[in-house]
Parts: sequence; C-alpha cells; structure tokens
Amino acid sequence: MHAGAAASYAQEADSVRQTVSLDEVTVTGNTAAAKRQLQPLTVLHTEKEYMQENRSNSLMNTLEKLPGIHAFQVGQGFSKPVIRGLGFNRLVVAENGIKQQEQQWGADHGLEIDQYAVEQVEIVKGPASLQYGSDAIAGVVIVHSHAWLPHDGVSGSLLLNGHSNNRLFGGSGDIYYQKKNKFMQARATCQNFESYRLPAKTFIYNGYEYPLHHGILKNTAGREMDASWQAGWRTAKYAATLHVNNIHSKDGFFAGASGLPFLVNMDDEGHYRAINLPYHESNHFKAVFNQNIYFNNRHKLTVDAGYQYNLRQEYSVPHTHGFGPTPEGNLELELRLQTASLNAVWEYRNEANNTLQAGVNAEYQHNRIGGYLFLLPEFEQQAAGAFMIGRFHFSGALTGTAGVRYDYGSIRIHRYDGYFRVAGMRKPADDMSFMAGLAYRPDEQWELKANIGKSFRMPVANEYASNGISHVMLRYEIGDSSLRAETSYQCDVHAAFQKTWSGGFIHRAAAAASVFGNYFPNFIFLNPTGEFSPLPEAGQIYRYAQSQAFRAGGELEAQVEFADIFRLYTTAEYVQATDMESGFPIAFTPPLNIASEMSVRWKQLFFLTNNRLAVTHRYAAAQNRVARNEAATPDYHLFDISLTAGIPAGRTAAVQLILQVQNLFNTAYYKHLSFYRRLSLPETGRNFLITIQILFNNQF
Amino acid sequence: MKKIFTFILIAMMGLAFSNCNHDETNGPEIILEEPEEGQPFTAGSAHGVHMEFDLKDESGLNQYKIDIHYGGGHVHSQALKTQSAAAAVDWSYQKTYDDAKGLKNHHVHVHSDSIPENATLGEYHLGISATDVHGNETTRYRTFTIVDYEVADED
Repeated sequence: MHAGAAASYAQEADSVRQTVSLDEVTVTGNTAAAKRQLQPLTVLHTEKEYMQENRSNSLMNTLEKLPGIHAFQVGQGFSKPVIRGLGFNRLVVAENGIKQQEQQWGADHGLEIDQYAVEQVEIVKGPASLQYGSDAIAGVVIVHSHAWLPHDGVSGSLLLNGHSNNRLFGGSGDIYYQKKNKFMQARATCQNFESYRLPAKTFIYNGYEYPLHHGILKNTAGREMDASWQAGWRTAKYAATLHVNNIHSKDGFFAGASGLPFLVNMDDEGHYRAINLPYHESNHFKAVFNQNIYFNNRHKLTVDAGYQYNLRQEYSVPHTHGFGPTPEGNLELELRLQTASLNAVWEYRNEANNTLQAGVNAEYQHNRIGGYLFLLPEFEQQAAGAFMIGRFHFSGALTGTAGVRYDYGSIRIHRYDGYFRVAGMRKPADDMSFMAGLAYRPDEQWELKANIGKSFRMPVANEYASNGISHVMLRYEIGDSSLRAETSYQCDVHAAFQKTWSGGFIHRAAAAASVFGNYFPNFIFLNPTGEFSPLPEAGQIYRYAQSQAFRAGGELEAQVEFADIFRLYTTAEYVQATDMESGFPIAFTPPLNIASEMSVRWKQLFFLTNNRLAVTHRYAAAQNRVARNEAATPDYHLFDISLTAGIPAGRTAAVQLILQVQNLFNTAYYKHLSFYRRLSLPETGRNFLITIQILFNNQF
Repeated sequence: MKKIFTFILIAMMGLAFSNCNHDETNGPEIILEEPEEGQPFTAGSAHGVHMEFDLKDESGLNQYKIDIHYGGGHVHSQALKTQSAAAAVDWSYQKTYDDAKGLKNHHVHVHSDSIPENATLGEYHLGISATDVHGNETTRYRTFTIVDYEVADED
C-alpha cells in the first residue's frame, strides 16, 4: 500500500461495495473534500461508480473524460495514460503501491491492467510525486484494487459486457470472503472482440486509395484473459495483503501499420474475429506484498515488495521489412522484462495531525530479447532513491507540504552484434528532486493551491541504445549514448470555488481553474536527421536528441447541480509544448479539448432505482502545432449517451444495467494521439455498449 | 528563489520564441516528370525504370531515395498475371542518393537496375522521398506497370 493515501485508503475502499456513492467525478479537491484532507497536490479521484458509468474499451479510455487526462490510443483494446500532454516514461502508473514496469516507452501497446479489477483511481497531476520516484514528471496514476470491508461476509460480482462495433463480448467475475482478520478475493476477466468498424469505406494513404470492406479495419481483432487473487491478514498492529495477477492479451495489428499497406492486406476474408499476422501477444505477471506495521498511534511503517514479469512478443512475416537473409519463423520481436521492487516508508503523525514521511525505493530490472528484428538491447538496470516529505497544518485553513528526494540509478546495456550493432555501455545517473506546495482554504467556498517542484529521469534503454525500426512510427530510430538525465522544473496554481444552497433550484455550483508551466533544460526527443535509413519503407533516420523545452497549459472545470436531479459539468484543457531551440512544437501534444456532460438522476423510476441518463459532448480543436513531419489533425465533435439503471434484487443483491452509445453520429474523426493516425485511419465508429452487473453481499 | 526566477524568465522567453522561430517547415518540392502514371516497362529490360524529376528546397537538400516495390495490384485495375506464380518474383529496388547535398535545385535523371525477366507482372509503386538539411521529408508516389511484351521506346 502506498504511503500517502494509506491511512484513508481502507475506509474509502470500504464504502465502495457497501453503499453506492453519489459522488461522480469531483471538481478537483473540493467536493467530497470533507472526508479528504486539504492538500496542495491536484488529485483527481474517481469512484467505482464513475468507472462503471463511463466504462470504455480500456482503462485509460474510461478515464479520458477527466480534465487534463488523455489516452494514447492503440487500436481499440489498448491505451496509455497521458497527463497534461506527457506520457510514456514521463509518468508513473502504480498499482497497489508498486510502479508498473512494462516497456512503457512503446506506443504500440497499452497499459496492462485489468480495468474490471480497478476499484478506485487517483490521478496526481504535476510534479509532486516523490513517493513514486523522481521520474513521475507528469504525475502518477494510482490504481487500487480491492481491500477490507467493514463487515465480515461473502460477496461477489458478475459483469457481462457487449459492444456492437467490434462485436466484443466479455465478462468479469469476482468472489470475496472475509472473516475476522482475514480476507480473500479471486477475479477472472476475459474479453474477445472482432476487428473494428470505421465510419469510412476507403482511406487514402500516400496518395493511394485503399478499400475498407464493410468499413472494417482488417486484423484488429483481439482477446484478453486476466486473473487475479488477493488475500489479507490483519491484527491491531499489523496488516498484510498479497496481490497476484496475470494479464494476458493477443491483438492483431492492421497489416498496413507495419509496412506500406498492400492491396492484398485489404481483401475481405470474412473472418473478423481471427487474429492473423502481424499480431502481438503480451503477458504481464505481477505479485505485490503490502505490509503495514503500526507501532502506536504515531508511527507506521509501510513495506511494499513487488515482482513483475512482462513478456511481449510480436509476430510478423519476415518479408515485411524485406532486407537481409530471410529469418526462420514469425517471431519478430520478443522482450522479457523482469522487475523487482521494494518500497519502505516510515510515517510519523503528531497530535496536530502533521506528518513526516521518510522512505526508500529500490528497483532492479532485467531485460532479455529475442526474435529476428532488433529494436532494443538487453539490459540490467538498478535504481534506488530516498525521500522525506513533511506535511504541516499551519492552521485549519493553511496546509503546506515539502519534500526532497535523492535518486541514484545505473543501467548496463549489452552489446549487440547482428545486422545492427549497439555498443555495450554502463550509464550511471543521480540527482536531487524536490517539491513544495501550499493549500489554503479560507472558508467552505474557496480553495487555493500552489506547487513547485523539480523532477528528473534517467534516459531509458531505447533512448540510449535503440537501433532499428519502430513499429509504431514505422521509422528508423537510433539511440544516443551521450544523453544526460532529463530534468524538469514545474509549477502549478489551482483555484477552486464552490457554493451550495439549501432549498433553491440550484443546489450547488462549483468551478476550478489550474494553470501550469514546465521547463526542461534537456528534454529528450526524436529528431529527424535528413539521412535515409538502410531499410526500405522506413523513411529517414530519427535520432534521440536533447533540447530545451517549455510546456504550459491549464484546465478549467465548472459544474452546476439543479434540484438534486440535473447536473451540468464542463471541462476545458489546453497544453502548448515547444522545443525552444528549434521553435517547433513537440510531437504528440493533445489539442484544446472541451467536454460537457449533462446528466439527470432519478432515485426511483417505476421499479428501477438509482437511474442516470447522461449526454456527453466532446470537442477537440484542430492540432496544427505539430513537430517536423508530424501530420496536423483536424477538429471534431463527438457525442456519447449513457444510461444507468438499478434493478432491485432483494436486500443482499443488486443488479445494474448500463447502456451506452459512443460516437452517436458515427463521426469519422482522427485522434492526434493515436497509433493509426499516421495512416490517416479514422477512429472507431458508432458503438453500442451494454453492461449488466450483478452484485451480491451476504454478511455473516 | 534564483532558480525560480530563472525558470520564469526562460519560460517567458520560450513563449516569445515559439511563434517567430519557424525557420523552415516545408519539405523539399518534388516535381516528378517521368515515369508517367501507368507507364509500361518490359520485364527483362536492361534499362530498368527511367526516372526524371526536379528537387527544390530553400534551405538546401540533403538526400533523396528511390523505392520501387510491387503494388500487389491496385484498386483501379487488375494485375496482368499471365506467368506462372511460382516462377515470378516481386521485384523491388531501393537506393539512397547523396548527390543533391546542400543544393537548392537539383535535376535528377536516373535508371533503376535492370528489371528481371521473371518479375511479377502488374502494377508497381514508385516512391521518391527527399529530405532537406533540417530533416523535413516529402514523398511523391507514382504507379507504373511491368508487362511481358515489348513496349516501343520506353526510354
């Protein structure tokens, strides 16, 4: 269990299954603030209900409506988190306190977390994440799975899911048992989907027109199978939880994505559920052991230990890149990454509820490769850090946080001698990070926050030593062994206002604004060299380089609640990122986004309970600020509808029905942050989604 | 405090520069004269494919690359498959050229390698890519065909 929220985590998780909370996405740090401490960080909390009502293809797609949060789209089943325009290695995803390590530099695969097993998500925006490592430059996505309930008993759930666009069917079920000081839970999830349908009959790539038979993007079918198991044991002075999970998926790639699209790739074969070459298969195994030791009311020690094994395999016909001797077999690329992590945090809390945390993190990574194509070398990497964070309540209205962290890491990259060559190297890096923040809540209506921080990250193996063709961009990428660690200075300011009226037509109104600025003295990015690569179809060589970069942006949120029934919620967000040396924008920066949701709630409608109807409109402005050779993306409007209804099923059970229509008008649109954007392929067309969830809970 | 100050200063400079420092964003211009769209070439021709094009770039050219590959048949026509599939090979040709380095204008007249006798007949894609000194890249495409009968004066 991670240190920051450990104290409140147990109670929050408790309430989830027992009562259906009426909190939706909260205007940052303000609603539901009563139970949350005033703190300087800007944190987005989502409850289980939000996850259910907005459930999409993947975890990050579900969270994408939150202000400042984006999903980098990888086909239909996968997506990666992007916070304020930064993603990949510049943010941390932590599940049950352990940093997820899964080759997150690669944009062609998604976050390997079972979205149905996620009970709660907290997203920390900004530089203030010293507990998780200095490399959480953009922020942290904190994912919690299940934990203690307030009553002993047996409970469980079964969720069934269907999507019209890709004929997805899926399900997830869990069973939970708790008696006295022990609990145990097991969950299984599976889903299976066809290739997805686009709102287009043809697409134009490089001046050629290619057909999309029945509007289907061929070979984008996939399947996923996940299993997880957790058990806990506690006494008055000690609590321990063991989480073990395994995420397995197999997904086809549209053949045009790993070579020029040939007409033969477009033939209609009639089997939309089959996964043909090229495809990828990945397996993420993770075991996490959380321990809390309470010495007395004042002192607590949290120790988290984790082991992860990420196996990625990509299969393709060798001729796709047509050079050199023809290799045997279809295994193009295999990456086997093992990670062992250990965190220990000691926390002291005094009478005035001021806290002091001191902690250490250590991580060891071991990467091995296989397959006929070389992209990333083998490596071993060690990283260790120590931090201290204090939180002081100057008065009831003013809270301050300050912390420092020191990290040391080193990576040993193995030499590779094949058609491509990479020299072996050993690269150490170390630096200090810090953060400081103030939160001021003069009354029930206003809240002001300001944070400043410095973070840094060691270059990752591919930045130092890649030498090969990237599947994602279909371009030849070369690492640079002379890269320095990337440093980031960041500040943000946040103001929130809310007012409630008892009796009036308007019950509550709230608004919040955040502004941030972010300066990198040596931002690492891929720079075109103007030299063509030796591989056909790969275009020119891109080389990792460093430059000064500046990013700035902000988010606005507003929400009005009428008569306990209607709610209007609007968010707007913008980020601008510039390479200060060339004057060019930085690639993959999301455009201006404005999302509005109008929702209506009825407690009772005929025999249905807790009903909710929501209509969402999303507008993404055109992104014309693009890096060299990056395509500009036109603007679009999207409409979604979501309907939730509860069906009474006795005192110990509940049935919930959720219907959604995504992309209501079947709009053909391009997403700037998408794997298939490069091929000028529009995103998924209209999609009807149905979810039925059955919950039961028998208290002893 | 000094660091914060520097940070804000640099930040403001960053914003100021971001809008006026776009030196050169356009890739090279490629004016492709030959082959013409759909032009036939004969399998086994020793002359290969004849190409004629002009490259222009204000900031200076860097490299250009010629990429020819079998088009797998094309949307608008059916491939002329008369030979036995086993004997045929999908012909391809790739070459990068350095002779335009630093020039603002360059006229290119080149021939590919000879076309093999057993080249798969049908449509081929020709891609000509060029980069400038900044790494801006442009590609022009054209389709030609390889046929198994003599075409008069293909040069």
